[in-house]
Amino acid sequence: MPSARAGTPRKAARKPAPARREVDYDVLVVGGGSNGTGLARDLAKRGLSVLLCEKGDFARGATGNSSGMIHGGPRYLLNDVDTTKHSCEDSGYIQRIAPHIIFRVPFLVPVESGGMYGKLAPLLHDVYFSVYDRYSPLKNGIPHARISVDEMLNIEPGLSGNFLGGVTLDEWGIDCGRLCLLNVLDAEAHGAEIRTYTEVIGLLRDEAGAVVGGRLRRTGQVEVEEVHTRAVVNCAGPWAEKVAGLGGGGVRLRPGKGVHLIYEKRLTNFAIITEAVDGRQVFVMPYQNETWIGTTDDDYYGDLDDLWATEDEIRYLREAIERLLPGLAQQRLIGTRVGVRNTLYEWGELEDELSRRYAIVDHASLGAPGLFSLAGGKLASFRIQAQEAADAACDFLGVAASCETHLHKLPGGDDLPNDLELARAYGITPLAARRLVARHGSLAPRVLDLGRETATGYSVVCPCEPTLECEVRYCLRNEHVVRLGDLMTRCRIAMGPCQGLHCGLRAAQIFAEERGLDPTSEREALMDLLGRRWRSARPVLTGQQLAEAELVMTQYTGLWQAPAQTPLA
Amino acid sequence: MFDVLVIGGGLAGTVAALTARGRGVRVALATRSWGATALSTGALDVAYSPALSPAAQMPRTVAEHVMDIVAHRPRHPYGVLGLEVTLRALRQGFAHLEKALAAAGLAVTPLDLEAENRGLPSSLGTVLPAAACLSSHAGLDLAKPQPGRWGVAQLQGAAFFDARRVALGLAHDALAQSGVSPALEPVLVAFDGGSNPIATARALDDMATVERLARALRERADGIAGFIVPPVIGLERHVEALRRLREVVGVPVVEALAHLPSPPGVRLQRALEAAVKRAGVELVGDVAAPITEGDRVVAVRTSDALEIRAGSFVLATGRFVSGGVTWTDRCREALFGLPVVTELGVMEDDSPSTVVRESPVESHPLLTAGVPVGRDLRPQREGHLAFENLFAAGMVIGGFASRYALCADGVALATGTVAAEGALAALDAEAA
Repeated sequence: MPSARAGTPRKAARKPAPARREVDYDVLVVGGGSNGTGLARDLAKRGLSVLLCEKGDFARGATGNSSGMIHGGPRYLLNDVDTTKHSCEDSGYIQRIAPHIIFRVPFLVPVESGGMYGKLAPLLHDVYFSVYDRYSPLKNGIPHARISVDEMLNIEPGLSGNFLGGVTLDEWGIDCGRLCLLNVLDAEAHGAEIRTYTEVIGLLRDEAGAVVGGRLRRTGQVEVEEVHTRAVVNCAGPWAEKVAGLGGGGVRLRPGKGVHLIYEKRLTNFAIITEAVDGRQVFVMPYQNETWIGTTDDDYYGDLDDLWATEDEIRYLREAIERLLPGLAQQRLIGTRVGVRNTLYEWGELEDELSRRYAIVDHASLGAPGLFSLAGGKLASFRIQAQEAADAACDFLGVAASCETHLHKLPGGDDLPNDLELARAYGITPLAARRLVARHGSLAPRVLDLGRETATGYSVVCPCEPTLECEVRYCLRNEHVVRLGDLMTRCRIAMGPCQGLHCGLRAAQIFAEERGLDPTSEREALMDLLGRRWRSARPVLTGQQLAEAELVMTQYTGLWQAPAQTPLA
Repeated sequence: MFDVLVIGGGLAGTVAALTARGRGVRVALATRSWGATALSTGALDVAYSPALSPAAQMPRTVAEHVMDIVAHRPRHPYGVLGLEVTLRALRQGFAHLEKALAAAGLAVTPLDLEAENRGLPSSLGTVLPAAACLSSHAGLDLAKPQPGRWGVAQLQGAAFFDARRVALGLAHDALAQSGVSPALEPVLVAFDGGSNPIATARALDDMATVERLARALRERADGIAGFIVPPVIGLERHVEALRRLREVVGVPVVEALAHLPSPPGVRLQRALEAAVKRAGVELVGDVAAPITEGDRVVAVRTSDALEIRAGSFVLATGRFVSGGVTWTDRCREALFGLPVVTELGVMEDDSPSTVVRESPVESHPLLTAGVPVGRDLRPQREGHLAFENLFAAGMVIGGFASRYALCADGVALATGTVAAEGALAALDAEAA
């Protein structure tokens, strides 16, 4: 694998530039996840004209359903050390360019007694993590610490089990949806064109078989548009195999389904790693204002566009975590995250043991020059992955510019405002200010200024966060919101326990007002939002969440046409 | 020792308690916390079930809608009771409700089963069909063509009631239902609407504040046939506040039906509580567990470890919102552990995904979950009677959801009445 270090000046382009022909864009980037948006930003910064097409909304696939960590993956030390190194390195860069949307996640690794190393286990853990420590300066990590059982129970009194001690280490979490959005905004600022809800359904080939563009179709429409480009880069994540197939193949994946369960609030102080019934590593993790437990890893042969968490997956995770933290059994599950990893294909390995390495495929060797694919990889090293893909595309196009994505901050990343001052200045709660800064960074004042436009500008739309009306309007105007459900990843509307009960109607009203929609379209928008939330909530609709669902369903009665009738019993 | 113990103080439980008390026996009512009744919109839904019948036989009157449900939904409580009993119990239950609310000063419109559902304006911007309602919501039937211009009041800063969107939505629905587009327009009113309907309603318990709102509305009343206002006209002193408001403004003022949080729901719940007290029903606290002997319920144990004995029991604990039906590892009725049915039949599944459809707009069997009952509303277990002297009323009964056929209040009224009659009959039978 080429080891392109960020900051290394590129060698001069080896080939002469191909003959210029009339094109709409230099590069068509397929896919709006971390890879695609990162690549669009990189290419745009290098002066290329870019069109990015994403068939849904940003981060709808693997990125938006990942564990949201830009970590080194300590477990890869054992068999995939390159991944650990690249991840840690890139994690450091990502922290630098996106300080506002990341947050430290301290981890605790309890060492249980009765394992195969007996009483040596804590020492061995200590040694293991000292090796990992060598990579942590790359990602501004605090070195690990070995702690006693008492210290561990002090940190996490809810732990249950027989322990010999524990190890703490820290990692970083990131808001994946905001990451993709910020990549896109920066790409646009450098001239890129971004289209969501637009699928690349075919590639244009010339007589020689070169890939010279794409065929695009907006979701729900019939017309197909052809765009001509000099190169196409396939960053479609789990769909990369399918997109490569449009150009004759060349990418083989072993898709791995992963599920997280979401609890309504932060329940532990640390993220904690433990073991599931089959010995796999699973974790409980405080993430923004939720707690996640995860994750599973199973070969997936089904429909990538129709993912649901299954009862098996839910019980598997709950069993593992409730063994460690019995108190969690009483807590309120509000939803699920389901994604599919775009792991590179290998035969004969268990899902967990598959390498997380990435590959840049140049389809020229497969008879389709002009097409490149970026397959495999991890969120934590998205930037370097995008860099290498950009290098490959630029080589092909005879463009000499070097990567600068590690040098410049993403929008909002400079000079983060103080949330208490912001709260005072605009008359909002400190929590609302804190959450705004976590999403918009230095642009938070601009968001809040919008609040002066209307009498309700600082009213709370979603109390779960809280999300204010001005932020909803700001996102609608500036952040590529096509469907109301897109607001979920922009400003966390309906992400919380209320499931849209309190915020759905108001968000739909604001959306309708901003877009000039009639009541029918307004109601369809609300349905889109509730539908997206439903997909997450339906598998865990028990306990209090079921009561919430009953309220939501009853409250919104009458908002759509006559309620559907079940078959007569 | 009581004759009848009703568990649950919502609409169904209250109607049951008042019906039993009407016979002069000793009645106790056990309550825990507010449930769905306190969240109601202000409408009284009895029956609205479009599209069950072929288009040619579209039901018009409330009674026809009831007939439709009875004919097509045998597991719906109306179907279980049968048409005749349902209609009779609806009228009786409503009579009790009317009397109870009147004493609290809260008026309701009459219930005319031979009339069509009215089209009431809601805070969501929808026109909701309802058979009757708390009087503050009456005065504008958008299911019929309406002359004149009506103003939808935008109180300053009231994000919970967006008059512009409400007006657009109401006009859209009214056109669909009445064939005529009413003239509805948002009117900005110089009055601070606050950020929370309950807080605003409380503020309007002060008559000086009501005067200010009234004057602000009157300023905008030129050429207006009437106002639709958010449902915030007072909480404890709602009746007086509304009267003053209407006097000063001079044109009709109609409260829109509420969404959550709901001042009308609070008013209704409080009025019901006042009514049971006035009727001499004894209030006892939260029931922790029943005490049974064989096929009879003999007593309940409250959370403070008191044992309350009674001759008959009415279970009116509600569904998911109030915790009458719960789902921890399985779906079950919370107090007696009775099995649960949906409108499709017995529920055996452990996973919500199998009883919940993939899209929220579809109808979900899980949302119709509750206990199965016989014609006399006694819960059943595996086809047999669970207990001789236990009766069920309200949403704890399975086989229906208020979302799919607007009927929750009608079910509460009818089943509350019949359950109480059953409880009384069981007393007589035992005495004999």
